[in-house]
Amino acid sequence: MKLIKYFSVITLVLAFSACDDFGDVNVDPNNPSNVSTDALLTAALRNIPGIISQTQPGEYVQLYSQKQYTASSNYQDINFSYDGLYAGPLTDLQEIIRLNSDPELAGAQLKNGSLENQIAVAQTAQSYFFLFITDSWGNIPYSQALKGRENFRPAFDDQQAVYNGLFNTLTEASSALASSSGTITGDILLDGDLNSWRLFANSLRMVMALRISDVDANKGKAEFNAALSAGVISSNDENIVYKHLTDEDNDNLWEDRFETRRDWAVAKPLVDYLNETDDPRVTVYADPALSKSAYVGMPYGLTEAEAGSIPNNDVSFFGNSLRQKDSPTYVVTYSQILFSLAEAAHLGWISGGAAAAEQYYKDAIKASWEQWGVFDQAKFDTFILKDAVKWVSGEEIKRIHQQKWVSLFTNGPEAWAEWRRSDYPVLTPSPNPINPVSTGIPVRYGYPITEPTLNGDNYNAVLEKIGRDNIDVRVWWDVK
Amino acid sequence: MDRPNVSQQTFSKEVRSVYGRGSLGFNDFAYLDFSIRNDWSSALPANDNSYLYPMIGASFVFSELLPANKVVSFGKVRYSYAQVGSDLDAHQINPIYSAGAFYGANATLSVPNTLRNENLVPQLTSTHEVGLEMKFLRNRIGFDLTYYTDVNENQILQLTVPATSGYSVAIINAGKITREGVELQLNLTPVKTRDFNWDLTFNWAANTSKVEELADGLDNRQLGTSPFGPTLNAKVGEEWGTLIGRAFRRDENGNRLVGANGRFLFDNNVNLGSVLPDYTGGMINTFNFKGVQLRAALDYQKGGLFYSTSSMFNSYSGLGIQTVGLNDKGVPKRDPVSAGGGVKADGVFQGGEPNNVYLEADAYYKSLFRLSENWIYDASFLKLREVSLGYNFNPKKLGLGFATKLNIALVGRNLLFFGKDTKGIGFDPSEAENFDPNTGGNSIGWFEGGQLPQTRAIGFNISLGF
Repeated sequence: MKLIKYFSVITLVLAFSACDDFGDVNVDPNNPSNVSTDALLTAALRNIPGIISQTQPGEYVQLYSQKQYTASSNYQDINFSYDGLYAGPLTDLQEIIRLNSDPELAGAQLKNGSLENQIAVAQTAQSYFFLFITDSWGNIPYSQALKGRENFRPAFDDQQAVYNGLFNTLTEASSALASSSGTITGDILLDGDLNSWRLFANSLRMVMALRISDVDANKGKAEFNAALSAGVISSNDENIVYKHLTDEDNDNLWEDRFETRRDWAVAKPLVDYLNETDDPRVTVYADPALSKSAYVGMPYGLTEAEAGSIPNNDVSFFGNSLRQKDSPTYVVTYSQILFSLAEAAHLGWISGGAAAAEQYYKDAIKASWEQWGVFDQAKFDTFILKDAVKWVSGEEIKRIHQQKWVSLFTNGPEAWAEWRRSDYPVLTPSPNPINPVSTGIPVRYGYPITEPTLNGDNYNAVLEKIGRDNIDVRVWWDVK
Repeated sequence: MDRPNVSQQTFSKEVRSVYGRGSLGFNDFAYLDFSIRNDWSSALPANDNSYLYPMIGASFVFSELLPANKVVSFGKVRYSYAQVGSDLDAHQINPIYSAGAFYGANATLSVPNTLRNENLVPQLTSTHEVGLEMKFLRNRIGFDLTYYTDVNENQILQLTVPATSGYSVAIINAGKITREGVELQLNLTPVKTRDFNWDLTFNWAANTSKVEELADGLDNRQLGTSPFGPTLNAKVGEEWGTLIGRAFRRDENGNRLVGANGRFLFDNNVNLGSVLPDYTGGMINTFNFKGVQLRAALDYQKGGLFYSTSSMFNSYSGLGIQTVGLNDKGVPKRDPVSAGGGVKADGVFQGGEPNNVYLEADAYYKSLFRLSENWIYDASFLKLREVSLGYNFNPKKLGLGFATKLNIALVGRNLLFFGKDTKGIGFDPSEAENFDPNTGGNSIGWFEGGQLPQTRAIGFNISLGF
């Protein structure tokens, strides 16, 4: 019987030993496998203007008002993303810290500055980004963040814990910088000047200390004084300023915004206040309305139909000198520090009492005028006595914060944070809110919309704490 | 002049394989096929770049054993078990840095958003498949039924992770993904005479896929995002294909809620349903009459959702047809509310009273922006994809002695479309965009991101054979 009609097998060729050795075939020829920390630092620092020049916070506090697309001024957006900051500069800075902390890897980076200095600078810059994130979102992933594969689901830390962590980090960075010399490379912000980095760290710490004045005054006072004695910015020459270049990759973001449309005008509450007080900063902050040869603010909170019905020539747009390709971005300024000192003196955190507070207040305004290049002694002497400006006992906080708000025109996030803390100037919420906002004006950014789907358990845990993930939920330091 | 941006990339990958196969046949009715293969891939980590995978298949033509009859002309059962190992694209293992724009003379390098993985192992899919193929009445009726189930282990995925980890995507070996499906093909020849032939082919398919396990600590895999719309997700323990996005807030009775300002209230991150169809398929009818051939191809899908960006923007911008016309008071919507115009959102206040606030038309339609639930449609459709009418000429008679065959056909494509839920939005869900990464064999259109609609085409097809 011939059951099997055909039978064929091609047998295996025995594996030869070199089958699994491919040499360098899989080494990526398109991207470097090694890094120099100066290039990481430059990459991270390039993200600073994106924070300061973002428009949403400055809309909330009615420094800016749109001429066309008013939806964001009317609280359309609830969820905002911090993803680009964590996966971007924070991770690049973390890599600098990692490379300088690993004895096997650190040697290769010595050409970019001492390991301690590189770490201190990276920590200061990280603190800057984290401070913005926590001030905007409240409780955030912090202690478990940036750990890559070790933790794909970072929990949210309470804002108080984030603040305590940042106070420690900035203190550590400042003292490391104080006791060292030399320079670092790749520093496009402060050109390798480690003393400036020390002032930056201490000034941030001072800003943070005042931020918690309503919730933890004792801690705030201690941190404020420690920052002050460690040395803060003490003149406009020491301002932390990001310099823009004229190429498209590095130019000022406001210049980009005006390349394709005329949308951002100066909001009416600000222009009215500047006009009322005859403040020369209006000539920098705003362009004259073409049809009127005067400074005219754009009403805030209009519907798109209403805003569109106002001719472009009838309102003042964002000042021309502030939106050149190389217009600088101010990060932390002397006037900011002086306003902080004025408030600290008023609160009794530092010595000098009411007299010192008043002097710091005047100096802060003067420093702001000087920063914007409009200082004139005679004008200033008149200005400082105007009803809406002059130092009035019992209205110190209101005065300080009205003027601080004016001085922070190009730094929306800081203006928003200080407005939330002080509630000055008094602002009228948009009459056309797209989303209901129980606080009138938004006081927080909602978490990125992906948190519930990608990090659900931790998101639910933070919701338990804060109640709702919305723009009208106050952050820890904002008690009312 | 700014610095020009120039980029050039090269990729290299080598796979070395050893392969063996064999067949056994027994009396023309039982067959056994087997093969075994080992691959070594340069794209995998050097210490784990070898993977071996076998296949075995048996088929049994049982009709050979039946007594001669006029009913069953062919019958075969088959079973196969196959494993397929695979690697990944080149250069995805070793950590790299990505170069960004210069700042003056300062170069920039960043840690990339995708976290590479030096500990990947090859992925392996194991499939069981059984099938039954039968033909009746001298092949006039036939069907081929297939059931398959596969298990995909250690699948290499680009997994979206919370960016707070420092990365937005991690390359991982995912735990376990299972899939099962049924496919049916019917072949009929309802009429067969000397001059006239009618052939019909009908296809039907359904499948599901479930994520059994992901990597440690992860319970959701985001498969894709759509412009200003929902995300597509696969959750551990669930079928893949869940749309998650913004939905109307509703009361206990299912009414949409509006705020005091007359605008819809909404919630984020709501499960909006599945993009997976219940089934899909097609039908091809071919008629031949004395050299004239008429052929018609139909496609269909039942169930599944898709999201339309264009629809949302047509409404937002006032270009859509729904933004004109009369409101429920019989007044043009676009007239001011003060003149009786405007639109009233179809909902109730939180207390339960019906909404009575009219919004200006532009405010109303803009308020639906990003409200994904409103822009999700049932993707069920029936589509006449192609009809052709042709004739086989005798080339010799036409003096084209050099040719042996000449066919001229009138062909129409995209001729008719019936969408269950897509009236007025002008979009054909059969053209929706696929989600791209790691489809794992599950590719389904689930959103329309503003692409141009496919046009109807009518033309001639001339084919000449030599």
